[in-house]
Amino acid sequence: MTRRGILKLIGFGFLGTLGYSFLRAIMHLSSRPPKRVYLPSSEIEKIKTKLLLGEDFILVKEGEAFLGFSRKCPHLGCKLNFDPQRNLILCPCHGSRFTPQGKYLAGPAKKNLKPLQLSLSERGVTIEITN
Amino acid sequence: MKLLTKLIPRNFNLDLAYFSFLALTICIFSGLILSFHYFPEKPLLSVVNLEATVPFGKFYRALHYFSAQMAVISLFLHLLDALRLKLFLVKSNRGWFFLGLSLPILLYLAFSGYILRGDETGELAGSIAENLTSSIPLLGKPISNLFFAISQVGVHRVYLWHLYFSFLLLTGLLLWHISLNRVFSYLKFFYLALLFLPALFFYPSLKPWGNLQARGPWFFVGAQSMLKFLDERFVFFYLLLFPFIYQAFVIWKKNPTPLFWILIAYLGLYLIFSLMGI
Repeated sequence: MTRRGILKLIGFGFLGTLGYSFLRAIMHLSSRPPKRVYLPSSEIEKIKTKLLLGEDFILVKEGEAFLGFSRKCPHLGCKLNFDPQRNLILCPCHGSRFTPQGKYLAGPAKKNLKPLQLSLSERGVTIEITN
Repeated sequence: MKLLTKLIPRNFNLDLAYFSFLALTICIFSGLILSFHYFPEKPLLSVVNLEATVPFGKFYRALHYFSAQMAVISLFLHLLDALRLKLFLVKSNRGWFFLGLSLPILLYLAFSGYILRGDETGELAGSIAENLTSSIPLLGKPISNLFFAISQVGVHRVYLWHLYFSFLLLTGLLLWHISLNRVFSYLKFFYLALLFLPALFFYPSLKPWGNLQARGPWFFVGAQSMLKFLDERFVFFYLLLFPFIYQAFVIWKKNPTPLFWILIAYLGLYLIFSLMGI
């Protein structure tokens, strides 16, 4: 191999390494820490339809107990909505349907809603939202 | 094919190319004005502010929106008509390659523009794009992080790519596909009017979901419909297929007939799904 050939190879190797490190650096993102949402009892008492849609969560009142779910559809992450007439949680993008208890009914999601950890106290409910 | 040749005017392809380029140029310049008032950390607020406080803000946004739609439609027709005229036989490989690449780039630009509005439907479109890309084995997550990462950093990356790709597209077209002399010699007032008039009379509204359904931009309706029935990885690869089929015409230029049929089947299927989604 000629001197020029070797230098070319080293040049490409250098550029490749640089490109790889650059791509690695911009593709890496550290995941967000979990978010905690606190709902005081006064807010919970306002739930009239047994279900509360938060920005990132769904809070369901089951008698005296509570269930919490992520508001992201397990299919492609669309923000879920609630249809009070049919008493169903619906995905507005691809039509997946879930019961208010988070059970999968129909559509492309094929999974139940992701449950969230709840901490109940006399003052209210704390919901831990993970990614 | 003969009937098509009889029906379509002689300079149709050139007109489409010119119109598409003009639409893209107007879109980029109106986008430049918008970018002064757009802050990706507050997307929806930026758009609302732009319309409420910037003089002619509403008009610039409408012009940006409608010229982008016109660019997508006319570029798509230009691509199809170039196949009808078998221009892959005469165009340089590089010129053809960039033409084929220009449609996915423009579609990404139009799609990212839809996300950047920051309203509810824009948010949903962003979420779908991010999760759809992430579903690809191995490379999905890094690609999604590179181009979207909306759940992590909001619309910042989408905004940056929206800017970068606009200039990449314009520069690439000027370097490898278009002759500027030809563009200037072809200036038609009628085309300018066609691009400006919709922005004067129509308004691209910021909408919440209608009837508990979110469809996304019009060219994505077929994909949305596919996602209801088919695996997301299949849909992702299906959407990526068009530029590859298009480039294949250069490789098999001596016998392109099977490719024509593949392309017709490909577009036909997408059209059926789009109609199902309406």
